[in-house]
Amino acid sequence: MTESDEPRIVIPPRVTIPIGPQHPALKEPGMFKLTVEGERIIDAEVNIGYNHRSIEKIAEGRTFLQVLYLAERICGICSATHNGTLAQAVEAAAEVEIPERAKFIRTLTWELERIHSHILWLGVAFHEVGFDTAFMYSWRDREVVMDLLETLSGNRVNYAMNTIGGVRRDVTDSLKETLLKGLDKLEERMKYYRDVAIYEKTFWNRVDGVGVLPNKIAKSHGAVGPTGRGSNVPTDVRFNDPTQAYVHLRDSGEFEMVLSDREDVAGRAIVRVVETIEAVRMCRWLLHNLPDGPIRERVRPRIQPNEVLARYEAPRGEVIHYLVTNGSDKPERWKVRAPTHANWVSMAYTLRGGYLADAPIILAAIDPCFSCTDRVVLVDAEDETIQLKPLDVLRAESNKWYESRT
Amino acid sequence: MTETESVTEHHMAPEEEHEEEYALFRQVMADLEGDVLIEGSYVHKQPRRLFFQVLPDKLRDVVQYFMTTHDMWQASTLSGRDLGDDLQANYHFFLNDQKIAITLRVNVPRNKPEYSSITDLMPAFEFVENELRELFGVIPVGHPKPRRCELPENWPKNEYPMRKDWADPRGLMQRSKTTGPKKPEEY
Repeated sequence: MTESDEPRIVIPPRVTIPIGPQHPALKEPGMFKLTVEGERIIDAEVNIGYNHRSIEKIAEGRTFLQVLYLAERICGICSATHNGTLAQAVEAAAEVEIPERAKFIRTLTWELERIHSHILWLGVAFHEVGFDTAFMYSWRDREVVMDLLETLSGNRVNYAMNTIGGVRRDVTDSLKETLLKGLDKLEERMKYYRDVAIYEKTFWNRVDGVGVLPNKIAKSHGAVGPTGRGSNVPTDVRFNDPTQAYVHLRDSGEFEMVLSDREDVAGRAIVRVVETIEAVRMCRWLLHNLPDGPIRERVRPRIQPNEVLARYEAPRGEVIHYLVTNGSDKPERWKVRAPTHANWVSMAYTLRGGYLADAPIILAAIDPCFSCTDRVVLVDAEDETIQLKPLDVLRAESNKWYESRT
Repeated sequence: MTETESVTEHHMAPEEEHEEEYALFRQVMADLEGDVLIEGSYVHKQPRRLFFQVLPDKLRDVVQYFMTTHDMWQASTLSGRDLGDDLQANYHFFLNDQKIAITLRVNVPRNKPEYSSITDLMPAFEFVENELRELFGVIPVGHPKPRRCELPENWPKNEYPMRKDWADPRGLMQRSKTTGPKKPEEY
């Protein structure tokens, strides 16, 4: 080997690493093409659309009440979100005012869902930075709010609380006591996790200054929810465009939009943690001010022709349901824009310039929900001849296959 | 869709309790005379909702007008619609200062569904404009990154599944409507 006096500067080659759509580290199908130079990510591309379910198309052939339960299945974590937002859209299209008590209970379910979703995210974030102790602690305490949701609605995941014209279950006095007791415990635990997230170096050093999304880019690329608010973008439908009981919550003056000007993953984490504590306080306020009265208004199944833009702040950001009705009992057009879909656009920017090892936490920081993203057309295609197999056919074939084995 | 039906779909708001919306609406209609059609533009009964029918070749000007005059930066989404002879693109925005959601929509003819993209003005529309092209076959001309977004990579050409007349060549929608358990001979 020849020796040279001058030290050689080695420029690492550019390598493009595809992560996904199927990858052990990803829980859901998305594809991220990261071009790296050594450890630095210099370019990123986000590809989605690997899990279409054609919900918008299917909805055009179903009645509003059926679509309500279909909407709930868009996402397991935001089930009350889509369910409630669609109910709200249909009520607006029918020009029906629902009882006050129903509005409060609907909002209560939404806020409890926000608590469970944010604690879930916190656990995932702890896990992604390798702080598994806190991950297990936070998910243990998430069970508290899951139990509350179960006592409230009867279900752990798909709550099915809303119906067109109100809610399906009432809050009794004894249930109120249970909920308040659970909320006290949650608030205490959340304050502890807030301190863990801010003062614990294991977590903080991994998120401080990572995944920077400047305010200007967040605005122009349409970042929503905690991703936007972590970059000081004041988008919160609960305060900007309130519906249901959020009008009363805003007017009470006790609650404020949580914003952070840190613009990095730490900012997004702080927004979520503080927002969880705010959500606990909101739930308590709603329970203390719960009005009496009926919980449901009857709505005719046929809805007059109308077009409605319903908005709601889901745990991940702004949800939009654009509903066009045509006088029948089925929607003419129903468009759902779930928050993760809006956050993908700024994702590529956030990844650029970071270290490859930080990619998991940057990806997790928007709290991606793939069921939010892929929901338009269901196709199971193979090469040129497209063979589409619905679930029942698939099930029958798999049964046959197992039978032939024995 | 016939004209009478499309008119009944629009529920105009009464003047009282919608003063802010009407003030903005009148200002926009005066500023953009000729770019925005009177028919199809209105203030909706739902609070804080405005709809504007924009001429397809004037969309970019209208968006620029809103961005400069009304500080519009929050792009919500884009929804497509099939109106029969026309295809429609609905751009939803939110004005954070006035706290009003506005919808700009353009109608393009079915045989030539093209209009100029606004993704270079507002990058937030990158994914949704691709989605519109795939699902409705409405082409935002000048999109900086036209690529597959929602459908599978080997989806056949000229099939736009969200159009009302999509033939459903593989009979998926038919089969997904089964209500009860199937008889064994149907498998």
